[in-house]
Amino acid sequence: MKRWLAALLLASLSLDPAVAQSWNFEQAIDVSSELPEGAFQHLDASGRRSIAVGENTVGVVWEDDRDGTPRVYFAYKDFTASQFSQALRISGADEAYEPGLVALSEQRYALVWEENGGIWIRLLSIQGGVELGPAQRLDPAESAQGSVVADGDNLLVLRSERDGSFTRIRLQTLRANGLVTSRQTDCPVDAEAPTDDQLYPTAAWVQGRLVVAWEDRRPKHTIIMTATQQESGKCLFTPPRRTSESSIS
Amino acid sequence: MKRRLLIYPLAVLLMQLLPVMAQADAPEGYPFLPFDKAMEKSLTENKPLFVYFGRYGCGYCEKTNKEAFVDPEVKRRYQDHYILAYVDAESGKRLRLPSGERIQERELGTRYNALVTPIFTFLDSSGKSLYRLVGVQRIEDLIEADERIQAALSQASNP
Repeated sequence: MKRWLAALLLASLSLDPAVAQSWNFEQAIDVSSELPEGAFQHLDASGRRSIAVGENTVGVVWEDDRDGTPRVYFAYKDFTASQFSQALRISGADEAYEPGLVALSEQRYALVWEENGGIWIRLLSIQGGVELGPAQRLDPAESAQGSVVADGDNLLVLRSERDGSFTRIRLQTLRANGLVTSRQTDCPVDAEAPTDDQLYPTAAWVQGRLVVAWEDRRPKHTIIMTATQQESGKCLFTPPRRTSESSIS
Repeated sequence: MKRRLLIYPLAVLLMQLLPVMAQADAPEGYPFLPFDKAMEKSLTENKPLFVYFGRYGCGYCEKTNKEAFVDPEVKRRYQDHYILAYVDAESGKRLRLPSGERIQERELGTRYNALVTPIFTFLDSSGKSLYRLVGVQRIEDLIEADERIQAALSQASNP
């Protein structure tokens, strides 16, 4: 019986095109080739959200110090284009770090980054030329490690915000109107006050609900915690659950 | 009533101290520096670096601190012979290397293959890895490693 099952499994695997075909990599394309010698680029978005695919376009966001100060830049290309657009500066006058992005409808992208001790958001459109919306700070409190996901024109931005002695993951929902955002809700993902740092949030949609994951130091070492949105559109989450192994110390 | 009034602030103080106590930091009494500052000093003084890759809540780091770094001979040798750097291999703390590169401590951990902790790496002033120790170390392990490094440096300067 076991042999039959194994044979059946092997047969089904061999029929699966994803298994049968190997990956094909095309030639790499430079995203930004304008860097002077000695400049450094970083792709260090919380949750590694440095690349997003929109309507026939792909956008990339990164930080580099081409003018001596770490700043955030964005470039895009059509799927069929052989090269990326010129790098477009997104951040403001201060040092900026850890940018992330998400693609929206009508060839827009929403970008978040850390600057001047807080998380900022900016929308841009590449429809018929580049148009930048205003840069808006999410909250005056000290925060870092922004990460953004979208639900239609609703943006969900996660951040790690200073809350007394520790940092706490908070979610802010915003409505995108053209290239401007308006704040809807803002809540901590874990309703209980933190007992140690909560860091590097990221999120994904699972069966219509937002699942948020982050690094958590509550057992006095780092573990991964997740919480699920209780009801779509509500800033209310299930009690967080540990998802990393419990035996690691 | 008075006792209750005393217990409350004491409990609050203890709560604030607990996370600090649980952290595995660099061993006490040693002049450990952030990696970028240590590299600058290493270049200026032309001394090799001893880099301690630890981690928040690292029990084996704490064990090495308590059982090996407390030794006076270890302390004398490492203070005299090296510029000491401490890196939290999971931290997002930003550093700027003498080359101008901005890097996070955890990226530095990845660069030097510090994927477990503790790891103790001896580097030359350019950042090139010379030798490394992985895991809990005893007094004799640290002294032997120092002897090896010193012998190799001596041989290199007097071929």
